[in-house]
Order: sequence, then structure tokens, then C-alpha cells
Amino acid sequence: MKDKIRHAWKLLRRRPASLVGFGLIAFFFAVAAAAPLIAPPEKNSRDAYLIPQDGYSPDPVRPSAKHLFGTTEQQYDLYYGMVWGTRTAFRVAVVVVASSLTVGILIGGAAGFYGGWVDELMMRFTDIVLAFPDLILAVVIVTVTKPSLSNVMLSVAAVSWPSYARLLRGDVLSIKERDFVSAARALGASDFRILSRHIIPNCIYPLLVVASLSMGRIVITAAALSFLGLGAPVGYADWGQLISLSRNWLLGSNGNPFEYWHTVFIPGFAIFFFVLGWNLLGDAVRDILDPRQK
Amino acid sequence: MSNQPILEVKGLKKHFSVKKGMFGAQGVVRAVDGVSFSVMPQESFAVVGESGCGKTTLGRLILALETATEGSVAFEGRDLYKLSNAELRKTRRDLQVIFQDPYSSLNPRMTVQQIIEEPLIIHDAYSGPGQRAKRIDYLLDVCGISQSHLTRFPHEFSGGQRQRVGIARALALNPKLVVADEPVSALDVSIQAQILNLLKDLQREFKLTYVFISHDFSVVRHLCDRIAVMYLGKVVELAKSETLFDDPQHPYTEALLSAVPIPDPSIEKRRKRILLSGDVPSPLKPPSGCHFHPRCRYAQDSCRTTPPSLEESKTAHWTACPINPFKEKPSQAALIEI
Ligand SMILES: Nc1ncnc2c1ncn2[C@@H]1O[C@H](COP(=O)(O)OP(=O)(O)OP(=O)(O)O)[C@@H](O)[C@H]1O
Ligand SMILES: [Mg+2]
Repeated sequence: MKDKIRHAWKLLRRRPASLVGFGLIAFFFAVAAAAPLIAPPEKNSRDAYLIPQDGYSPDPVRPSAKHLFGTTEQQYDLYYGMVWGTRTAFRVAVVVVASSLTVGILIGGAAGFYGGWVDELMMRFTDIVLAFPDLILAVVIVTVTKPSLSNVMLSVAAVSWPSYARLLRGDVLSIKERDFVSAARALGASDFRILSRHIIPNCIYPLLVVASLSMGRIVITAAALSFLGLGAPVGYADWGQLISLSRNWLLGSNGNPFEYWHTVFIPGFAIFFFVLGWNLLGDAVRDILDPRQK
Repeated sequence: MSNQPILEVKGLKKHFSVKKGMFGAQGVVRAVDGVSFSVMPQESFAVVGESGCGKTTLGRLILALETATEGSVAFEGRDLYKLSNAELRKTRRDLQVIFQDPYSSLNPRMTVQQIIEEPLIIHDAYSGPGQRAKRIDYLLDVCGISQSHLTRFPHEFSGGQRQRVGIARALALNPKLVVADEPVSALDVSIQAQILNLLKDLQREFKLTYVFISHDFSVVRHLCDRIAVMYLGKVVELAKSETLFDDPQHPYTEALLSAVPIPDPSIEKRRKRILLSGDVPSPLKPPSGCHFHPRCRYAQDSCRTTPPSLEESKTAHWTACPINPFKEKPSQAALIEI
């Protein structure tokens, strides 16, 4: 184990880009973990994810000592929203990736392994889902199931699994022809054992690379849904929501286009760096998980 | 030896349909096309032939890893293709395989320990306390694998070491029949002899029956009791090892044998090679009549039209060649020009 970690560190160090990715994600993770310390919720708040409001004035207020990142319209504290929104971003990314990976593995694995009509049925279904533009399908699903954060996760998961299923199916098709799979079959191993011990472990790594690369995209899609008002309720700490609160202030005021810059740029950059971090990390994950790279 | 065959292959056929050309016209590859033989307990039975003649497919059919187009494989009198899934999986304990490519035959994500232990887990064998560890120790010992390799992964080993791990896995459950599909052809020449000797020793130790697949006569010569020569999905000659070497009855066997080096250098110098003209024909479009006729130096008109069948040309010596050009030449000495 120790060896593995040392090896992973060696590979990370060899590629500065993945080190940057690692640093970005570590930073966001630290912020999410330390949220109650660096942005303590108010004493009487019933849900720490609800952003405290300082009055009800419609105009955003620029950063000040009292509000480190300023406030958005309706006087939501941007700093608080950003810190707790980091937790939301991780939660959405992890829940969506885990559930869409599970569905993708079941469908792609079964299709590749059993072939024939099972393959035909599952892959045609996958093609149908893939044929819709991601965002539009997600919007339809959230609208039908009524807007909320969990339905955002559901809908993003529903549009994300097909790419995993497809990737896995292809790999399963090639791995199942390898002799060690025949050997397991000749030993009398059950289908379940062959799939779970021999086939999936040998095709899971490309899938995990794609998964870590798609963490970022998932957060963008979720933010887009929030921006459209289909996500968390108003005032909930969520980056997409915070950007949507800046919708009316994108152009600043007459003669000063950057008057309300903070409402756009702060959550915008957070999303940008979060996505960048995952993308860089995805490349690193590929290098580390490949056992031949020693 | 009892006189009940342990393995009986009857009229076995495997036809693959494949797409030909851009427009996907269907073609049929007759990879195995009507093969019959039986193997006695503790016998070493060799299947020899050039690349693509269907040896691997035949091996996979015997192991029921592939479904046959026609025919049957009986193991200890029971037709493998008629067993229920559960029965078949139980029978697989006795029926094991060693593969040609030691790089593809071991799961790269499993340690040597996991690989050798897997058969014991699947069949819940040696399940008493400490028995599995003891069994694994024993297997390492007989297969010549060092104890320290247990925690390592296949990619850390050479081909020969990997092949030993594959052999240990195959023997874990004390099988009765082992199909060895070119177990040494992917290895360095220097390693080949080691592995062949190991297989020979193991046969005695475990009382194994081998179906030994090879494209190389010199490999099977000392290991096998009987040899079947295959050409394009069919057995063309089947005989005891010594008689086949001394007195080949089929022109194809004659040509293959003439390419085998003779250990005695003085005779080796005078060995006359019979060059086979042309390549192995495409199995998608095998020649009419006797499949071998376009490359046969004894071919007659009738060979182009009438497919030969395997006949007993001498006692316990079966040949698929009605021309029988060697009636007058009883020994291999005839092949050596003096
Ligand atoms: N799954 C398959 N689908 C279609 N054709 C196949 C399949 N498996 C084997 N074949 C064809 O069947 C023929 C026999 O193949 P097989 O692998 O049994 O030959 P072999 O004697 O083992 O050859 P080698 O010495 O190269 O291992 C070949 O022409 C091959 O292309
Ligand atoms: Mg082969």
C-alpha cells in the first residue's frame, strides 16, 4: 500500500499539469471539509446550506470587510454561498458519477458479455438516450419530476450513463476473448464470477478515467440547470444558483460594465477551476492506474 | 490402463460464419470438419498441424468452451454437450487446459496466489483449515514456482514462469484430462525443454491424460503416445507415435516430417526436405476433393473430385489417402538420400 502511494506520488510529480489538477481538487476539498469553520452558519439557521441574507435590497453590493465576496441580489452573502456551494458541487459530482457508473457498468457489461439480443436491446436503448442533446433531455426530466437538487442529480445521471455503457461494452467485447477468461470458464466459474473478477477489473480503469474527466462536465450541466431555475430552491448554496442570481447584473450599470463583476466572476471562476482540476486529475488517474507503467 | 476411453470425439464439426468482403457476403469457415478419435486414460494424444488447421478450435470444443455445429464429445462416457450447466461446471474439475500464450492466459489484475487459489475457491475444494495453503505449497513445489512469487502479479514474470503458473492453476483440482494448446510454442527455445520435461513429470505425478496440441513434430515426439495429423479441419492420419515417424502413410505427414531435424548429425546432413508448394489454402474456400491435392506431389485426377475418408491402412494406423503412395517404402530411411 505504502509502495503504491509512493508510486502514485512519483507519477504525479512527473507531470506538473496533473499536480496542478491535484492541487485544485485538494483545495476545493479542503474548503468543503472546513466549511463550518471558515463560514460558520448562523446560530438559529435550520439548514447550513441556506445562505444568510443581509437585508432585502435587490442590488448586489460589492466586496467589503463584512461581506468578503460581496453580496448578490437580495443580499445573499456570496462568500458563504461559495464555501457551502463547494460541498454541493462535490455531492452532485460524486452522486451522479457513482449512480451513472453503476447503471453504465450493468448495462454495458451485460451487453458486451452476453451479446446477441441482450446486446442489441441494451445498445439500441443507449443509442436512443445518446441521440438527445444532454442538456435538453436533462431539462425535460427535471421539468417532469419537478425542480429540485435531487432531481437535477437524477436527470444528469440519466444522461451520463450511456457513454459509460458504450465504452465498457467495447472493452468487455475484447477482454472476454482473452485466454484468462476461457481459463476461468474452463475452471467452472460462474458468469457472475467471470464478469466481476476477470472482465470488469480489466476494463474498469478507462471508465474511471472518463468518470474523473466527467466530474467537471457534470457540475457544469448541474449548474446550467440551476441557472435555468430548475435546481435548488432560491437561497440554497449552489454555484449554479449563485450565477443565476447574477443574471440581471451581467452588464453592470450604465457607463460601468464591471460594476457587479463579483457576482459573475467569483462563482464563474470557481466552476472553471473545479472543472479544470478534474480534467487534469483524470489524466493523472490514467497514469497511476495503469499497472504496466512502473 | 483400462480399455474404456476417457475421451471420445465423434464426428465433431465447428463451422464459423464470417463476413467476406465489403458487402458482407456470408462465408463459412469449416474450422473443424468431422473429426473423430478416442483417447485412453493416461495416454498422451497429440494433435499436429499447420497454423489455422483448426487445432485450437478442436481443443476448445473438447473443453466445451465452444458449442459444436455437429458431433459429440464424451468425457468418461458422458456427452459434455448434453450436460446441464450445473453438471458441466462440476465436470470441469476433471477437464483442464493449458494455453499457448502465457501473456493472455493469466489475469493481469490477480496475484499468483489468487490465480492458483481460484479453482479451489470455485469448487470449494481443500476447504479445511490450512488445507488450501498446503495445497498451494504443493502446487508451487511440483510446478517449480518460488514461494516468494505468490504476492506478485503476472507482468513481473517471464513467459516460462507464467506458463508454470498456468500449469499450477490447471492442476490445482487434480484433473484427469488436460488439453495443452501449444504450451511451449510461445516460449524461448531454451525454456521449451524445461516446460516439456515438467509436463512429462507432472503426467506421472498426477496420472494425467494429455491432449497435446502442437504445430511441431519434434515437440510431441518424445511426449506423446499417439499422434493425429490435421489438415484444414480434418484428421488426415492417426497412428502411434513411433509408427508415424517411421512410416508415414499420408503425403502431408511425409512432407511435415521431412522438415523435422534429426538429432543424429550425420543423418541430419543427408536429410532430404520435401518442400510443400504453395500456402495453406483459405479455409473459407478449401480445394475440392482431397483438400491437400493442390500441394500433393502424388496427386491424381481422382484426388480432385473424391474426398477421402480415414481408413485403417495398417493395423492401428489410419490414413485419409486412397492413393497410398508409400506401400513400397516401409521406413523413413527412404527419405534420406545417400
Ligand atoms: N471465432 C471465430 N470466428 C471465425 N473464424 C474463426 C474463429 N475461430 C477460429 N476461426 C477460424 O478457424 C480456423 C481454425 O482456427 P484455429 O485457431 O482453430 O487454428 P489453429 O490450428 O489453432 O491455428 P494456430 O496454429 O494459428 O493456433 C482459422 O481459419 C480461423 O480463422
Ligand atoms: Mg491455435
